[in-house]
Amino acid sequence: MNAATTTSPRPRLSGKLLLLAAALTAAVGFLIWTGTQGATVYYHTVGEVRAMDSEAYYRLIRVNGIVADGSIQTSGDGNVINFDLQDDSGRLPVEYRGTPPDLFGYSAEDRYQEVIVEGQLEPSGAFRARSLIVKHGPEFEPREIPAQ
Amino acid sequence: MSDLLYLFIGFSAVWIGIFGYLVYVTGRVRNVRDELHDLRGQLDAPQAGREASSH
Amino acid sequence: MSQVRTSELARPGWLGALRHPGTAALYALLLLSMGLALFMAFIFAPAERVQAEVYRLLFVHVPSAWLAFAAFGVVAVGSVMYLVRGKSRWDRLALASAEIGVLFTTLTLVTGSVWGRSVWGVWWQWDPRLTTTLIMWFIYVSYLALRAYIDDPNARQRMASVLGIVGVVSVPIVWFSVEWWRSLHPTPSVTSPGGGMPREMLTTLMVSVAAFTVFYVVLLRQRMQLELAATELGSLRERLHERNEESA
Repeated sequence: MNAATTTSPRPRLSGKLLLLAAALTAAVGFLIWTGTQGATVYYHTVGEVRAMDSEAYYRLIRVNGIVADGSIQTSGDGNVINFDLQDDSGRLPVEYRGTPPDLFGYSAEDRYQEVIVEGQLEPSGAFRARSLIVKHGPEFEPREIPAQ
Repeated sequence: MSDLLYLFIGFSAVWIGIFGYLVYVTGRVRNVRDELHDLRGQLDAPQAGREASSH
Repeated sequence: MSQVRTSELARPGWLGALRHPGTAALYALLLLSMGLALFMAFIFAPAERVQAEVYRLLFVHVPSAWLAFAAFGVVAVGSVMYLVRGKSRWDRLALASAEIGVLFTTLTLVTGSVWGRSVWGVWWQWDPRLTTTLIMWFIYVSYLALRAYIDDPNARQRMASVLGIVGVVSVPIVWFSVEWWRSLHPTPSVTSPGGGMPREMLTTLMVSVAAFTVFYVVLLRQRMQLELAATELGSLRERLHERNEESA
């Protein structure tokens, strides 16, 4: 009845409490550990994929890079899109079948578009993407630059 | 066009979520207080009331 | 003590609560800040260069996330204070804040998903920011589930306090996830070096955060009052039950 305003310590509970705390700490610790191990990266860079050997073929991976300027080519009723993914190490040719996101191919002047593709690396060195995700950075700009 | 739809869905979800929660909690506060009022009346009632409630 | 307080406030009806000058002022502030935030989000802030209109989700997505972080911080403070002082008031603060934190996290996930569908082209990705946010959501949903599961008030409050303290570790993990690991989600526009936005957008964002903070305070107050009244109701029922048994 007095539970609303006071509490009396119950030694009986400390064991359970300790167990709960231990379990939780373990869970959170595991989270941090798996996250920092690097074994599970969300995506690879173009350079990393280019350096992969035959063991990587046909495994589902994600690659992040910049769409090389002017490399986008569409064919087959616009359902097949070929482009090069680029970083400092070089280019990776990508083929994607499907409908791209609305913002794909958009490029403001002097800006390169960063994308993530999910798919498989083939022995030819090309990447067959089954999904295409447009990345957006943390910068926002007004549509019309106000007249000075 | 579909951009505006996404914008609409997002804003609606937020306002419905927050207001829905506020209305829900406020309604429950009122119900609990009504019930409190009734029970307090029963508890403070004279001897006769107590006998009546035990039947 | 607590009984006196609730009965003082126990005025029936929606409008009855507004007779309390503090409450009336708070609700006025709520309406004012909400109106201003909406006006600024849709009319004052300019359209964006790449995203055009859909970027306006920023003004609900980011405040929801920040307020969720703050709410879970308050859960930790309430939990620590409860364990130190043993006053149920602190536990009520933690509970109320956790529930509202879950609400705001849910809204963050929903608005983020819709925004992601529009800009990224996908509703969901298992990227570090999204994944850790979902884990944070699960931690506080289990906090609420734990509370519902334990009947004994002392045990419930103490167990919940432990979870409320340990759980807050998820907040910095979610915040820094975009800097520690490769992710799809952008780094914070306001604080990270590559980020930025024009003054009009930043002002709008800050006003929106202020409006969400007022909302948080209103919801927190209301939820704490509910818990106080519910606890009192429980003890009153118990007393009545005991007395009826005595007289039977």
